[in-house]
Amino acid sequence: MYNGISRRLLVLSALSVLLFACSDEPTEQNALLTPQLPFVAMAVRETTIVATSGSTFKDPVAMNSTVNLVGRSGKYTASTVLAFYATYFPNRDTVNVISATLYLHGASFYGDSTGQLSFTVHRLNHSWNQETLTWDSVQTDLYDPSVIRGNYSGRIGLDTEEVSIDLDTAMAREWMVTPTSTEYTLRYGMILVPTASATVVRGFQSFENDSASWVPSVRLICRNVAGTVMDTATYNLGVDTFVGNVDGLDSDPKLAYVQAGIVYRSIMNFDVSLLPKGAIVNYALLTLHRDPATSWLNRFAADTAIAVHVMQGSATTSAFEATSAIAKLVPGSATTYTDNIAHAVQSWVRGPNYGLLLRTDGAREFHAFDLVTLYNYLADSTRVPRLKIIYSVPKN
Amino acid sequence: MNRRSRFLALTIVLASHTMLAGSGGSIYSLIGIGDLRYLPSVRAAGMGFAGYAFTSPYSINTLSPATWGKIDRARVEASMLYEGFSSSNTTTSRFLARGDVSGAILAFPLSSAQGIVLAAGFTPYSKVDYNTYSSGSYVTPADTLLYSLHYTGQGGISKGLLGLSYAPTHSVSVGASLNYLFGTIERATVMTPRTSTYYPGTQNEETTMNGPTVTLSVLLDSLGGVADSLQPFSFGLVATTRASLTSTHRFTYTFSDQADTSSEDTNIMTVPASFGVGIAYHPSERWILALDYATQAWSTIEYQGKTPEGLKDAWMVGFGVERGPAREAGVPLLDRIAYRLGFNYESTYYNPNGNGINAWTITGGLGLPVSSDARLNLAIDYGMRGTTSNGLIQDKILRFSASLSISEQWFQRSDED
Repeated sequence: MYNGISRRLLVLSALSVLLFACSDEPTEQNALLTPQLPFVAMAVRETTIVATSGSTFKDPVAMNSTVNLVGRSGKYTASTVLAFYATYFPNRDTVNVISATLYLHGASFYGDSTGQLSFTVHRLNHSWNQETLTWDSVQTDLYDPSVIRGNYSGRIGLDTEEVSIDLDTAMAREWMVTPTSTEYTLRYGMILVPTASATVVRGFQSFENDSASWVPSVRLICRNVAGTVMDTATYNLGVDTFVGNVDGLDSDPKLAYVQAGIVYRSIMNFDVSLLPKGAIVNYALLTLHRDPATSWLNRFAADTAIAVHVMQGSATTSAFEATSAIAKLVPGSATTYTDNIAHAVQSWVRGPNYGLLLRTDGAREFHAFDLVTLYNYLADSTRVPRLKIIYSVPKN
Repeated sequence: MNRRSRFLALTIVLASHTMLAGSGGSIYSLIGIGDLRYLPSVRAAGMGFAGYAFTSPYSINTLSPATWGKIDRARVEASMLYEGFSSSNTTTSRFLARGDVSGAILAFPLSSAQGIVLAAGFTPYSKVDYNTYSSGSYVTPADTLLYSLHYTGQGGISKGLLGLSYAPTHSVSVGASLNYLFGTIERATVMTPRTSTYYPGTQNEETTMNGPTVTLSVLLDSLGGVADSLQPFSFGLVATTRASLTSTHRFTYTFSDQADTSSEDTNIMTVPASFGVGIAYHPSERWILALDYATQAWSTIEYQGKTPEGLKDAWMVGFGVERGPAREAGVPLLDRIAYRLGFNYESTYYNPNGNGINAWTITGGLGLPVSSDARLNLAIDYGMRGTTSNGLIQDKILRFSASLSISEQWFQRSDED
């Protein structure tokens, strides 16, 4: 009797599971709604606000990118620092270096294309790190400006031309001494410093380039002490970077400056307190207007874009989110940048609101001298930065 | 508990576990605290949900403590519920189903002679389970935002109870239980734009409620000493006090890559008192006819200082009949099974925009003997709730419920002692 009940119970359980499995899945197509039931609809609203405050600041960051700049143009100055890997050279204490030639490949330039490019080469006096070297670092006793180890003077040629600089052979010989030699400690590399007569800034390919054909190289022609054997070797592995500077850039209070290569960055603030807590920010279109008269862009800038980061603190300008929106030129416009920054606005609604950080987008901030000047909160109503926000709140 | 009972208990637990959660329930559970559960026991579910006025040593009535007096062995009863909703309006219909554990209760007799039985357990009090969609748009010359809204609700309130029955005389049995209502209801609205240009977001509302209430009940039977005509009748009365539930409420917002939470606010939500009365007629030892009436004044509920809209007073009438099993040894199996039939009509507390929602249900059930003292109760209910007129929704509801009631002889002296 009880076995029969057990079997019937198992059958009933299986039937129950089957009935459950026959149920529909709720979808939009089979949705049942009635206006009689108190489902809360969403009210979608739109508002446009303007920037309320902002500032520009100079932030000396290390470059260490694919192009190094050297030269002078107007108030802009750049120096290239490079070193070939010391362990790359053979140990040859008694060799005579007949010639040492540095080869660099062009990549870009800034300023007068007919201007003069001239710089001197100096040996570095102590170690340095390409990931931390800044303009301020170079102003200390990094090198002796009175001792010249090479020089160059010329004009801007083809964009990717190769230039050669003859180096002091004594400096090159120091690269090949054994570790026990007292001169071993002198292999810190060199700095290329523009002269006062330089009127253009040149960009050269760096060791970061993908192709070995474009990276900096040094050719050494050596002869043994006996003078019977000569050899020629080329070395193209090393580290490099550049340091740049311009002072007094942010002179116009109506402008926000975004300067690559040095760098200058700007903070921009919007007041979104009118959005209630919990509002869903569906869309937030940021519109920025560039001042073409004070911007400094050339054909190498191409599609210059502005990276827009969410600031994460007010105490330091380095506290911002790593990811960013990218404000790009509106098709057909040369001066208007837009992007959807709904993520930023949503974070402000949640709180806190530290504003936006504007900087040159991508790697160009570290290998160019692009300057984009944007109208800020003090500009007139046609150019002031705007934020059009579409947001949703429950209808009550 | 013998091995067969353990096997059956495990089967029920596993079957209910398989069916837990599900694709959804009724959209009406959006209102108030959801679908209310009037379930004295699975035995009563087969009898039109009537159960205030009769008692049994094999079943534990979770709504009326006075009915526990006949339980003479430690007994545990666990139950499960499967519900299928075929819901429709004038253009669309769908079938959603879900399964739930429907509670468990342990009764422990302290004195069989005086009908003193202690019981403790938990049962569902209400259930929220809805899942539906709507759509919207925002169109301007510059922007076109089309979006869907996905509404879901989950949770409900459960009731933990601890009670005692006492039969001071052969005809009178009283009972009381301290109940604790507790639970969380979550309601979510997900806005999803149809193009990736626009960002989505979710608003999730979470309400947690808890608070005590007390149930008092009286059962009068074996009244032949009062009047011969009253001998086959028994009467039951149940009253549950109003509850003031402490309710904490907050919103959680989820966006595409961020989240936020509102501050938590605390309020009091009152659940109105309820009253029930039942009468049962026992024309013979094996037959019972029962009629119950229950009511609860939901129009008086208060939350955040005001009465929520969409609610009205509720009442219910249930009628059921049972042919009980034969107790003699050697009878066929079919004669050892209890058969039940019933009908229930409910004026629910749902009143969306002044449209009262009513429901009727036809019920049937079986009580199967598992062992000498264990019972497997099965019930099937089919009914309708609501209407498709006035833009409303009609639910056709199919329910299966099952409970296993098993007992042990604890702390009782054997004849040898």
